[in-house]
Amino acid sequence: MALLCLIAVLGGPYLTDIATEAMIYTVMAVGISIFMANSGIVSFGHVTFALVGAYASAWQTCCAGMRGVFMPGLPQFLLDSKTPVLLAALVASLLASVVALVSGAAIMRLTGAAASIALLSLLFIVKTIYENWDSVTAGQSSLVGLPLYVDMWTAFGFASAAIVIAQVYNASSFGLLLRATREDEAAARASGVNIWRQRLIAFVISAFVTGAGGVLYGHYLGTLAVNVFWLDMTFVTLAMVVVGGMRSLTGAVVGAFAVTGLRQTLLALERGVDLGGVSISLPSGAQEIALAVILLLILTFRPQGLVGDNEMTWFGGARDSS
Amino acid sequence: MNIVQLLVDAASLGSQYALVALGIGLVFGVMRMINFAHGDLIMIGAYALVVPTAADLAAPLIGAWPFPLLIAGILCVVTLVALATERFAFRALRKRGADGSTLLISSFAVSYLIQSLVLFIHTGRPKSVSIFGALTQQVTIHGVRVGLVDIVTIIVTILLLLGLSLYLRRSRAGIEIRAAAEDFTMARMLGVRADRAIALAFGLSGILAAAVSLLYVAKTGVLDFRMGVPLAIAGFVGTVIGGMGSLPGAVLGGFSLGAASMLLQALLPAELRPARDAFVYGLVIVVLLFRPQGLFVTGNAGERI
Amino acid sequence: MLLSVDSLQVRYGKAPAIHELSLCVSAGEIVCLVGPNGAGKSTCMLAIAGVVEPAHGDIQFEGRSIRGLPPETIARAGISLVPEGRRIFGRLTVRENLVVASGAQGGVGQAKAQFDRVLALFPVLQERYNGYAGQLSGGEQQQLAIARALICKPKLLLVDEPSLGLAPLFADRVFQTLRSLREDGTTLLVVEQSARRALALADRTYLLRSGRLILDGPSNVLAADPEFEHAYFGGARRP
Repeated sequence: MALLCLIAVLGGPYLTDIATEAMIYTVMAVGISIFMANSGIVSFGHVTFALVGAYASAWQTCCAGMRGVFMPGLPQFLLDSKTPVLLAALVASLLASVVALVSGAAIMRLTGAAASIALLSLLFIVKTIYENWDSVTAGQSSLVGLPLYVDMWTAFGFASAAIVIAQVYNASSFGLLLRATREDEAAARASGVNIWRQRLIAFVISAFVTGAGGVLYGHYLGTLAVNVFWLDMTFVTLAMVVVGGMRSLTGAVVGAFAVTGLRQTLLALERGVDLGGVSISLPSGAQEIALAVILLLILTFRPQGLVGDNEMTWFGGARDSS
Repeated sequence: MNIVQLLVDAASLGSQYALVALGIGLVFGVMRMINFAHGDLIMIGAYALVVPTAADLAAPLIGAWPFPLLIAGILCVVTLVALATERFAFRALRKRGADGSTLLISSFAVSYLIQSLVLFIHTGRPKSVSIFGALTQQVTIHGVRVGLVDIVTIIVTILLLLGLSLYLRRSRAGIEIRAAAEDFTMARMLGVRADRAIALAFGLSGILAAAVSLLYVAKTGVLDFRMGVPLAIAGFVGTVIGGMGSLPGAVLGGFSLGAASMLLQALLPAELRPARDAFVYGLVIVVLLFRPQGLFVTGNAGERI
Repeated sequence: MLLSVDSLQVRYGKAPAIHELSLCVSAGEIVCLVGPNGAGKSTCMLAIAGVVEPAHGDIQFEGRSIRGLPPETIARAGISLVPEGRRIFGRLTVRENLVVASGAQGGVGQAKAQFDRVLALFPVLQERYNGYAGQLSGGEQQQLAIARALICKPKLLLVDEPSLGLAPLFADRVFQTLRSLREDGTTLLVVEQSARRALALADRTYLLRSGRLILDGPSNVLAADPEFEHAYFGGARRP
């Protein structure tokens, strides 16, 4: 927080932007981590919930009088609604949870790689639907004019809330039971844990948080396009969780900041920097390649991520490390 | 649309998906890793047809060679890339005892890396290329017009499946791969060289990927750096509904998925057709709800992590 | 000395499965490891075969250290394992099971001769030669597991719990086969839970409990030692 104040006072708009972006990604990464860290299942599909959340918030708040032009298919009550942005965010995140509940009821029966692939299929399904549902999503073109209410402090508020939710879940008996299934599925099953239900609970909560991340993303950029919520975002958010440490909440937060910092540095390099009069610039596209290579190196040489299994104490709430 | 035409289309797409699923299944068998980058091998095979340049217009490179050379060229390129991913990315991970999740994520990272490299070289603009021009025509069989390319796809798939099955049953290396797929550690304790068996599986999956590249481009003529992703997803889902770890299961799973997509396309009203895949995968999820172990699974082909 | 294990320590996670185990096998011998469940016998076999990485200690085969070598290299050096639970390839035929294992051996003509010799030893496998191994009975599967390990003419055959899950009659037959192998010049290291069978088979026997070596000596001496049974079940001295 002190760091944020410092950035706000001294950093100028550029650093403020980076910090805001890092915290928006923190919300998403924490959301993914609630599911991944506790269940041990790699999720390639959580961007689905960011997508659902972002559009649901747009349905309620977007583009003032132009809503009916962009999204003529919306029901009348949505066309007329003047929902306050925060309430809209809540409703949108809840919708993401509902999608998770319905799809998770099936997918959570799978384990390991099969579950990961099914989650990717889920993203593929939802993306295809949204892309072709022109009347409420503007299809393959962009939606512009979302209220720009997300600044650094809003993002900070959401990120804090996300961390609190994750922490409460982790400390709850649900989190404990699910982590037990992560360590030894057979043993947990034998001692009567309903793995499906435990996974589903985590999945729904994590969808809620990831959905909120999507909402922030939309209201930070002011525009939405379905194809933004696809492999790039999946890769970047997954990279955050992995770089930080797949098994802990702290890892997700650290990863979100580390990867955002890295990407912004690379992007700045792509734009070119002056070093003692010599201008150096990376070719465009170097950012993605570098990120992929770094992720592979981390997976090979430090698969536990930057923080490993360690948990930092957030906001004074103690938590046993799992 | 005539019923025979529809069946040919369904079998053609089913064949393509079956080849993808089999390629993924081969590597999964020996390494217990879903190779995300398999779709990108297909994409590499397609892009190898044209000159690597950022220009909008794609001048053919290997695509301009006479067709036996063209096929051999693409086979070589894709197999080499497949072997390179094994040698330079996955082997180090395996040697360090990476767990299932780590391998899965790294194959996603390799996939993303390949896509970014192609994006870097070719730009993201879809390009078009034409190979095997003769295949684009329609042939009339007993008064029914069907695409020649679809017939060729089906025949090539059957030949590849027969050839591969013969290889896996008759050759020592093939038998070793099958043994390794069943119990990798035991196979090693009997002297089967792990590196070689895995490299061989990657090589075979590369050959299958190259075949799909050629068949795909012959049919659509379009190159896109993300073209491998839907194919890979189809292949994964094929292996999952076929029962992970079973090669015949992967073929059947892939084939059913492709055939079902095509049939669904014919049945859906026109305005829903673009969202066909959403319906197919929705259906798959419902199927898995009732049979989480897959449709065609028989033995205990559980996941070993 | 064909095999010598020196101060071997193996851990699973942080829990040690074997403490400071030393043992040796000379060419032509049959040596048994006995002990109750969880004594670390199977772990010891897996460590020799290169599947489990030791935390400390050394394993030497024919005077060269094989510690840390990959399992396939160890197999090719002449150590073959009949693992606990048999682990035959059920989706391969009997013939294919043998083919997989014959890769560790040299020339083709030599392989053919060894196939004939092994099949002569296990006539039932000859009968079911092209049938799937998964369809064999438990006893037949055990024979296949042994045949498979023999196909590459190992200098040292490791056999883990050959009688597990077999009817006593079948178990007797398996032990008979093992004894006959020695006459062909194969050296054997056998893990067995039943002390009676072990002492009857082996020249020398090691008794393990909770990952530690408790007693060892020539089988006929141990068989007569009243302390042996006592040590097997609990109490007992510790070295």
